[in-house]
Amino acid sequence: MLQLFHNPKIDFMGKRRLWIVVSLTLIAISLGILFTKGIRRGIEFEGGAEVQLTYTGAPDVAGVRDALARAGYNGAVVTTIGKPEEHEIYVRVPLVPGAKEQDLAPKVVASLREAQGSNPIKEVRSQSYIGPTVGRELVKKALGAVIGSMAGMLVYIWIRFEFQWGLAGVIALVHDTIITLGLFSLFGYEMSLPVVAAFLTLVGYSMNDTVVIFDRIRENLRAKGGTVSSLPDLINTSMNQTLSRTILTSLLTWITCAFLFALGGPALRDFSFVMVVGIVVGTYSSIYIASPFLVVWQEWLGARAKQKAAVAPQKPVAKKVRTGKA
Amino acid sequence: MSSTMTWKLALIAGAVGVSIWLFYPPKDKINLGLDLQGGSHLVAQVDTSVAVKSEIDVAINRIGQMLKEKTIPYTAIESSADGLGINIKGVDTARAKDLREILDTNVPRWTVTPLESDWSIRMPDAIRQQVEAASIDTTLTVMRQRVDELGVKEPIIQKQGTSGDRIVVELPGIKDPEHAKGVLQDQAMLEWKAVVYPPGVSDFEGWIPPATKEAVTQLFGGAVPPNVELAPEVRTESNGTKLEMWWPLEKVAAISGGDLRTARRGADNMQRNVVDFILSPEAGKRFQAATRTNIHKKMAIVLGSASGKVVISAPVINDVISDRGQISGRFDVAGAEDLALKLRSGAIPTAVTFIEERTVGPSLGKDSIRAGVLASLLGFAGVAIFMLIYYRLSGVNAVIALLMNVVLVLGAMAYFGSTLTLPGIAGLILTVGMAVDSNVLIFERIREELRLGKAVRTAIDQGFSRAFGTIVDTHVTTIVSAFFLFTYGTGPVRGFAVTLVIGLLFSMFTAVFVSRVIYDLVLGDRRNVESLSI
Repeated sequence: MLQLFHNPKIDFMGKRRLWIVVSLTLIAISLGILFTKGIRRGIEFEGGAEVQLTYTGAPDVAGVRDALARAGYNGAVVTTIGKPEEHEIYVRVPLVPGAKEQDLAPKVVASLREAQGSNPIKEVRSQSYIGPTVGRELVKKALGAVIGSMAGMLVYIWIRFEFQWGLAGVIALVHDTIITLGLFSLFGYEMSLPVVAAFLTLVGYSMNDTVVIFDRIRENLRAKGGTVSSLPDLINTSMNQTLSRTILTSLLTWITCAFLFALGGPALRDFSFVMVVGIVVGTYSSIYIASPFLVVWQEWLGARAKQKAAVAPQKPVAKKVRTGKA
Repeated sequence: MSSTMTWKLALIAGAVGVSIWLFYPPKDKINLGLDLQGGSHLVAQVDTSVAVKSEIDVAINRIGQMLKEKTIPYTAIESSADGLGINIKGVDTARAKDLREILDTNVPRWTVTPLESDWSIRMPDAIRQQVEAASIDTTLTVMRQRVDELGVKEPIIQKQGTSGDRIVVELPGIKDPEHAKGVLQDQAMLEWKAVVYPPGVSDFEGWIPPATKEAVTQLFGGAVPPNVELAPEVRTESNGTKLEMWWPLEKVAAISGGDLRTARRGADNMQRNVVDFILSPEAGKRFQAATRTNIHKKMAIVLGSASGKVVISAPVINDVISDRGQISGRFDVAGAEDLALKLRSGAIPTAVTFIEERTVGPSLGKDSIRAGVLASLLGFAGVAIFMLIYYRLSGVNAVIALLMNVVLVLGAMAYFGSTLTLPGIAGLILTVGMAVDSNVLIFERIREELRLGKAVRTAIDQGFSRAFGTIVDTHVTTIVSAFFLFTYGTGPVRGFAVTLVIGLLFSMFTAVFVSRVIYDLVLGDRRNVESLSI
């Protein structure tokens, strides 16, 4: 039998403080990148026009940029895309403040046709225009959806387990989202509708790993009648039991995303980048963030109980972990 | 083979058979999104204030006409400063009762405040809201009509957003989005208005107005009469120079586009392109009366758009016209076709601006399909190879389940008529990546049970039953996020969410039920199974 891990006995919980510090550092770095570098926003969010077209000969990117500047479109982004022999370029033009905008994309094409000279435009592959109001609404909607789905997770885990389990899961999700966003920004990818979709998918996916481990922890707790001498030990056992599965499934999903990233074409690249990075971060956080949080919570409750005990002596706190319903 | 087994196998074969029948051949049975098949996705913002204004104008027209018919003297009728009411000035106080009657028939529920000879009539909020809602519906209907006339197959035209003042238009396979936008957006408010000649003009048939607004105003002695409005006509001469003329016209239109029964492109006796139209019988009577009063004079044909009113032409009325007529305006074939189309489908009562456009050419769509499908096939192959190496024969079991999952998803998509978009293709392969999770959960559990020294059958039993709760949990979390994805997204992203959810639901069936049946089938009725290839 081929096995990734043969009867693993890794002490995940022993170094939990170290991993929390590692994660906090990663989050701090990610936030730093986000605040200094920011995230490039696609036209869905910024507004503007986007045109993709092919020329008969090799396109003159600088010439195209000049032609656009002459036509009054400043700050245009012009890049070649696709295979070099297809002579394809991508042009993006920001909104012109105060102008009537709805014909922006065709106007850009028209001014490029005017300047085409001996290298005529072969085909307009796509053109898009997004008005300023649409973008603002989308930002709001996207944030709402991400927060909404995290809240949904919290509630579901709360119902199936206990509140602090849900909280642990969501903290891991926030962790994954911030770090993935940081890397997304670092590599200079562009935020678009499908990318937000990828983040939402990631939220769901990353929760999967966490839930599988939680399920096992609960099962083991129940087997012991709900009382354990050491919660970290029990979590360690549970994580070792599920380790093969955690790594395997993440690896398999990661394979599919890696193929999408490498071969899915430019339209899916930003989208699959989020998944490729997010799956790795999500798997890490399921192991090193979500479950350790349960212990942190337990210790915190214990500390509070001790404080109380100092004021009014009462029964020693039993290390009982509630296992929830279901 | 037991009877339950036969029954289970029949169910599985049936599901697969029906699915294949539903989606095969995929080229015809699966709807492709605009990003894959090419086409335009447009979002229009509808401004209803124009509709309210024109409702006021229509009321002014009608009241003005009746004041004339009943020969009630007044000095002016005009819309109020805020555009939500009508002011009639200098009404003969002796005829107040008659005016009240006119108002009761034309604007029955409006608030009327007479102040001596000046009357103020206001549109109540409730009516304004009705007008706004109705104007959006009309816009939608007219747009549908026009899209049909453009010959676009399977278009989608629907309201969007909570306030309902946005319209999404999806035009698959359209080649010229500019033309489509122009046709969809044009209000095409057509009106026939009598020319009001300045004092001193005697050659009614030959008179041509001056080129500027100011010059026309001068002809009227510095101010145009209150019942007169000015509208420009722009002619492009053969040498390319533009000639502008400002026509003084009666504010009250004789007939308008809504009175048309039909319109089509035709040719006049000099083989120039014109638009022939037929009026409704009731409008025919009004037009007859109007042409009779204006015989041997000019009447202007005015086309209103969001950017203002323009005179198309101002022909001399040679005969009394009742129910049919012609619009000549130096059209080319396409221009005449377009105008006829817009008149046939009716006027759009609102101002429409496109705030979003996404047009994908067919070649880009094809490339996207190719890249998406290739990446998906290789992704699937990667997963399959891994499963086969890692779980050996049980891996075969998982791969069968995964293949079946894909078949069922495609079948369901064809059945529900949901659209496959590029992110949808990604969703499909991502589903495979996630669906295999259930198999892994079960297989790992079976291995654990085997390691504990349990018999193969017991291990399989417990593996499936113990993993089940976890499988439900993992599915629900993903579906929760897919739900928010669906509410957030439009078009392509929704396609992604739908594929993901359908795929996950079916994976419960394939990974749990189908895989189990395969084990039972392979292990058969053997009482003591020594080993399991896992």
